[in-house]
Amino acid sequence: MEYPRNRGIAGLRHSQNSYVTSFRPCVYTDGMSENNVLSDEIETFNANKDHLLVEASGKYALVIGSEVVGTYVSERDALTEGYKRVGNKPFLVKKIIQFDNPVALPVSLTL
Amino acid sequence: MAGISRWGVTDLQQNGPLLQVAIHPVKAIRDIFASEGTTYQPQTVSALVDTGASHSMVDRSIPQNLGISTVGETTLWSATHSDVPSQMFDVTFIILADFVKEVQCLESDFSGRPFMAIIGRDILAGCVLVYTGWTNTFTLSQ
Repeated sequence: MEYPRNRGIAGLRHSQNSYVTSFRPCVYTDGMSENNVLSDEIETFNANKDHLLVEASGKYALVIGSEVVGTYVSERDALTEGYKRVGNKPFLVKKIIQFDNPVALPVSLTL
Repeated sequence: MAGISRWGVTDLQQNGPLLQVAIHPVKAIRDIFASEGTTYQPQTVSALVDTGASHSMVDRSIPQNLGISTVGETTLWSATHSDVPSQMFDVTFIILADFVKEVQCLESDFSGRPFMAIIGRDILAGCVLVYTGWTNTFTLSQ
């Protein structure tokens, strides 16, 4: 069963595939641009997600380009390693969990 | 208790608890900048203390002005929008001069708002916030 992509969190949680595999955004609103700086890293994370869940669930993955550099207990450790490797360049630090929890946009930005 | 400050505002009900914050890159990036001889301009902006925000947020111009790169991405949703991508940036909030907090904040478009940053519950987790409506003041302490 297909669910519309813009049904909000309820629709996302009940989609057939895991949330992360349907991660790419399809709704762009005024003033919110598409950000694909990390598209390679996100693709790499998704491709490795199953075994990361088995080996390091709850930890933080550091992904640079098409490489999963490692997993870390704390987010700060992953960030520190990322800075050590590439400096002030884009990289992805992402918690290894089955389903992402989309962040609620504060009401102060929506009214 | 350190960092106690009482803020009187013109209209707490209308504007919410606003205060000035200085936003810097995190220390790791400042060290990189120092080694490269790169300078940056700290961004001093008005920030809204928002207990309804799980994450602190900044206007997307702030990371650009600081010259820092993204370290993550997540999605935002609201009653009217879903699946909106937002990049994450590693920044240092300096509040009340002596309250320094490194957070992975989200970016969004703050145009038309009287503030350029939101202090969310990731920062408030280490604070005491007292909202005293009848005196038109609030107190944020660390």
